[in-house]
Amino acid sequence: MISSHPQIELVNLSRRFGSVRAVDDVSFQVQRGHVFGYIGPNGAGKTTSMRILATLDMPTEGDALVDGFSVTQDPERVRKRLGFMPDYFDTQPSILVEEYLDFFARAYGLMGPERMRAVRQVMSFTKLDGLRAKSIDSLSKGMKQRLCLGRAMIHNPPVMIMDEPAAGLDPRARIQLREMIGELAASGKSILVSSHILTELAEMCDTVAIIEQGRLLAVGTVDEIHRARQSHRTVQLRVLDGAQEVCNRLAARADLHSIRQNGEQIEFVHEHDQQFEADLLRDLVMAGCRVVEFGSRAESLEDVFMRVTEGLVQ
Amino acid sequence: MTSIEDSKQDAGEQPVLAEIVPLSQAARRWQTVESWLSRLSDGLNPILVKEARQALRSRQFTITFFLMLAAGWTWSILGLSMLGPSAYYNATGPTMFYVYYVILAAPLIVVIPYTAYSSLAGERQDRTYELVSITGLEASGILFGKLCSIGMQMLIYLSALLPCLAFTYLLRGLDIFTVLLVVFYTCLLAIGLALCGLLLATLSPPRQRYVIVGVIFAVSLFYVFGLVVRLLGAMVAQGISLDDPEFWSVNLSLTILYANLAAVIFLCARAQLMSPSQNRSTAIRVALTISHLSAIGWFAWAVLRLDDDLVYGMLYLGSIIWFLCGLVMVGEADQLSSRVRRGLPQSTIGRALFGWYMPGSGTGYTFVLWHMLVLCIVAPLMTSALVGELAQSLSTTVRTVGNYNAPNRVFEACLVATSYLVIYLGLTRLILMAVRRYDEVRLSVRFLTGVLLVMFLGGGPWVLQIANPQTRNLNYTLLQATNPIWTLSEYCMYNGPPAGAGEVLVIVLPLAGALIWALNLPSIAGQLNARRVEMPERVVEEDRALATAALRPVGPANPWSDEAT
Repeated sequence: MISSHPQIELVNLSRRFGSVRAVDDVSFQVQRGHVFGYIGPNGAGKTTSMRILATLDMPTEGDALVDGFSVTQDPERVRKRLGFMPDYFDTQPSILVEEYLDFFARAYGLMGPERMRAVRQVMSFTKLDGLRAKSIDSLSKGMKQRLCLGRAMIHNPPVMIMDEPAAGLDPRARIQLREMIGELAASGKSILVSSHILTELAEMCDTVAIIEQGRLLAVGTVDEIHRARQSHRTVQLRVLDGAQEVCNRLAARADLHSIRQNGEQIEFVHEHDQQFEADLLRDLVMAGCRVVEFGSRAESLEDVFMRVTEGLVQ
Repeated sequence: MTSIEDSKQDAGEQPVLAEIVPLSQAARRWQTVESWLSRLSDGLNPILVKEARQALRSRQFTITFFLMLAAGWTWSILGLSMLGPSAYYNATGPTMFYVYYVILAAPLIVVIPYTAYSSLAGERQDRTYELVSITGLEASGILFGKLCSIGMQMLIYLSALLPCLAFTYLLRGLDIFTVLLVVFYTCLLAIGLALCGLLLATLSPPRQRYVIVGVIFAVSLFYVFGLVVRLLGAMVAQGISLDDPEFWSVNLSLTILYANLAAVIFLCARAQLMSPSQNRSTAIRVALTISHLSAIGWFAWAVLRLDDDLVYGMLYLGSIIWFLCGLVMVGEADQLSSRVRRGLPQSTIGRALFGWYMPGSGTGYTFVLWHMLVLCIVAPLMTSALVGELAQSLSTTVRTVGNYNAPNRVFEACLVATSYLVIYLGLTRLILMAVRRYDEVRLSVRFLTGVLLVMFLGGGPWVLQIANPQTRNLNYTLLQATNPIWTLSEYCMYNGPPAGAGEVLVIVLPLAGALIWALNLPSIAGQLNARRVEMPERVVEEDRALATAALRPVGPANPWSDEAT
């Protein structure tokens, strides 16, 4: 049965450890089939929020809901719907990959052929088929990460929480993991993912939240955050001659700043949209400036992150 | 990249080997057996399946098993060569059995319980446990799985030495029943110690004190091992008389008390692993009530058959146990989670009868008091002439009733013991309520507060008595009225009140108890008045959906019918 509730909902969630507010009045929602990026510096409160969602910790105030069920009051119902991939590896000794997945399938209540099918599906999806008889102690970091993902999705949960899934992976493994996450989202799962690799998050996430010192600083799509934060756009142009004159002309305008000249290249920053850029280009050409190149780029998620956060830790 | 749909197809449409290569009849038979075994394993606890796989591959298990096997074989050869021809005409069974038993008891009493501790504590320390705890397995399922795994290892160890134990029976001097009984009790002891190990593992905080607690536990296990081996030596030397009528009664009482204790330990360990919003108290309190009643029953049996002085022992022991249990209960949080409040009794009668079984410091405090009051009623009755004569008329094995004047003195002792519990638990509760405003009240804080209070209020006057040259003596005086240990010891030693203090104690202590009780009463009443809350709408919605799904037709009723049932 498909419910109408947001798949993940944090309602004024707070968690204190003594005098430290690890999570401070955080609220957001994640809808079905969305990938939600949770970003922030180390010690910002991402892992604490995720552990509360995974029913491994209790909030001091507020609540977190998964498919409408409270993680504090109905943790068993939440667990059925949730796959959690923590930022550490399981260290079960003397157990093979297939046995490991089989154990978790049993623990989630899968029986008989259903269990065997789930194990086969997960091994096929995470490309662990060839390692089924290998001990999990001897797996590489990338393979362990895949196994973690496999374990988290063995019971086919509608919600997945991934804490730094790409940490320490080589570029190829990161790309593969990103593709897997995209595939999971396409199959209708809601995914909350935290990462320090912001370029990757920007590519895969529908929505992001930026957290620092336990407080949520911004939530929305990358574009929404740009707009809300009066995002900057950087323009680069090249003129054939009279670069200094063009520079002076641009400097005379109050709506442009950070103007730099390097030979024929001129770079400046503004806080308007692309319509403004089109008008500016027209004005320059009409004024006789011989513009041969004109290009602009919006701020990346990294730029936004650097601007929104202050690098404070608790 | 394999998509989810591809992987589903891959997994679902993977051709079975039998479809590719035609299997022989024997192979098909094996395949059937394998599928049956797989289906059978569905009913097993997942932890058992996983730990069995891990244990059988672990170096520790392999080394222990082969060492035990080697020791058994070595002793078989060495023992027989030492006994020589006397094995043919002397009863050499007990000698051989004793050494075999030592070889068997070492893994059962030391290795298995320690493995139980280190398994759970290690998993909690390296956070492997977290990943298991968020699956569909409940706390009791995890603990039960661990116990099953212990049972399996125990069976394997036993199977290695069972032929040797059977061999001692052939050597004469030992009946098969004694062998079985000793092995049975050793297994029970091993399970009990493993339960203690599991409880310790749940109590020791992750990453801290793991090694220290482990070392203390290992030393304790070696100590128990030494005790058991010595006890068995004495038993083998004296022999067990099965004709003794007391034998079966003592065995039955020990087994019941063991079962009660094991249930309480299991439930305490389970409570430690449960989510804080769940009801972690009711099951433990029910188990405590059952243990209390069964202990009273067995003490009554002992008093009626052996000696009515035993009633003071029961009172002393009961007071200590209820004080320790009470310290845990009075430290519980007063605010009930919505989850717990969904299951509160609704009616007035329900609240009056079962409200004390609900979590909370106030209900816990009163719960202890009720149980002590039961003791106050039953203990004097045990020593009354009326009950003694009634028991004599029912059974010839009841002793001749001696002192019929005891009931009033027993009642006084009960009143004093109950008053002490009300005073000390009540004060501890008030202190912990104040502490809880600033921080969480951990188990260690509860015990520390209670014990320090007894040491301060009980030990302080003793220091004063000793320090003051005018009052310096080692006899009991009224100054020691706040010292529960000394006062109750006096009652136990002299089967009555301390000289010259009895009249004062039975007035002052109940009055002080009533005062402390009154101070606690408002918050207790508040807890008892807590009302049930409705299930959240989402929970009701899902339960309804699940119920509907359960009623939904699953398929044709028979091969000839197209209609779904």
